[in-house]
Amino acid sequence: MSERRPPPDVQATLARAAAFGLAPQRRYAAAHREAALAFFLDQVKTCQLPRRMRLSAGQAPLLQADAAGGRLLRLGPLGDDALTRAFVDVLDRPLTAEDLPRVVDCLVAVMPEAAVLMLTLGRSDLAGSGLPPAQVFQALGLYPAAPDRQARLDTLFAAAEEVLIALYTGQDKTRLFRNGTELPRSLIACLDRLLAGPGGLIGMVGPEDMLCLTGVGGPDHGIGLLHLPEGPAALVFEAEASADLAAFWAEVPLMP
Amino acid sequence: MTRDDLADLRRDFADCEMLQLVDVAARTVLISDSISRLGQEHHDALCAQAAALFAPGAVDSPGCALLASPTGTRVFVASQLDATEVLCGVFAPGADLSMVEEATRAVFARSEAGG
Repeated sequence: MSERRPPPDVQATLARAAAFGLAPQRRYAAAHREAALAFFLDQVKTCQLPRRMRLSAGQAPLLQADAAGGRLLRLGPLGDDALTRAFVDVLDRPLTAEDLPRVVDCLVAVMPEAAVLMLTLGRSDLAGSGLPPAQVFQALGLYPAAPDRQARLDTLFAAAEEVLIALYTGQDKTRLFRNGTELPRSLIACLDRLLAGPGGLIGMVGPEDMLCLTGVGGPDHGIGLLHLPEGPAALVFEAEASADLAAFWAEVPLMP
Repeated sequence: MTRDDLADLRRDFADCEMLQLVDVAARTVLISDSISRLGQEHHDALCAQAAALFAPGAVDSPGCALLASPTGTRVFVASQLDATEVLCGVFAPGADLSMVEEATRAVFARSEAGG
């Protein structure tokens, strides 16, 4: 028997309704606080178009939030006045990555231990970068911990093999990714200056960071300064890959 | 470069949280545009990083620098006409950064041409 599909005009109407968040109320019986948090964050992930979320436990409102692009953009008024006062610094404004610790504290404080949660979705016009739920999950310990630096580096090596040229760890110690591609002496001298502490640019690179530079040490090379377990190092790669490598490095901790 | 140029550029990138134009010689924030009101310390910290990267007369000043961390990426692009002017941006993790330098250079070029 062939599958029956609604006519196209009905499909369009349903799609519009879903886009505006007019789907029926969602209900979830959370057995504990972690389950309530996971439910809320999973719902954030499903919001691609901008949505205003209203979460309540039975008749008691818990919180309002805005989500779009699968990210949590804003926390709105909380159901509890005392909590609203306690977290006023992260309410009713666009959220950024730096708000993560306070947002986590706020969500933990808001969620009940066990309750039947009701979530309604409405239209929102908020835009912004917000917080990815994966980051909140990790901060709550509900996701596997972010990979350590060596694991992140291994992931980078595997994903970017085609654009990587060398890994330089100082004192002429070079791991070449391409046979027969020696680094020019002038480039090694530049890498030594960049890695020399405390005056070199490695000094502004945190333990979890990578600083990608172009226009230094030659027009064809990009340089990524980072800290390995054994010390500071410089990745040399094709210059045009700089933005993609930086974006990848920032995103690796969020990968499942 | 005007504040409107900066605001237009930020709107072109959905994951851009803040842009500011700084003078690294004077260590001054010239103009800024952000998704929400930020404390002056955020602007000053970004300006200090730009000044460290693009110190006038430094042997190894880059054309473009991206500082990637688990909380996002900071992007720094120096003007090719006036190397003391650096555009700094803060982008959320997962942002597509592939067009940021090119778009920034286009804004620099338009403003330097008086357009």
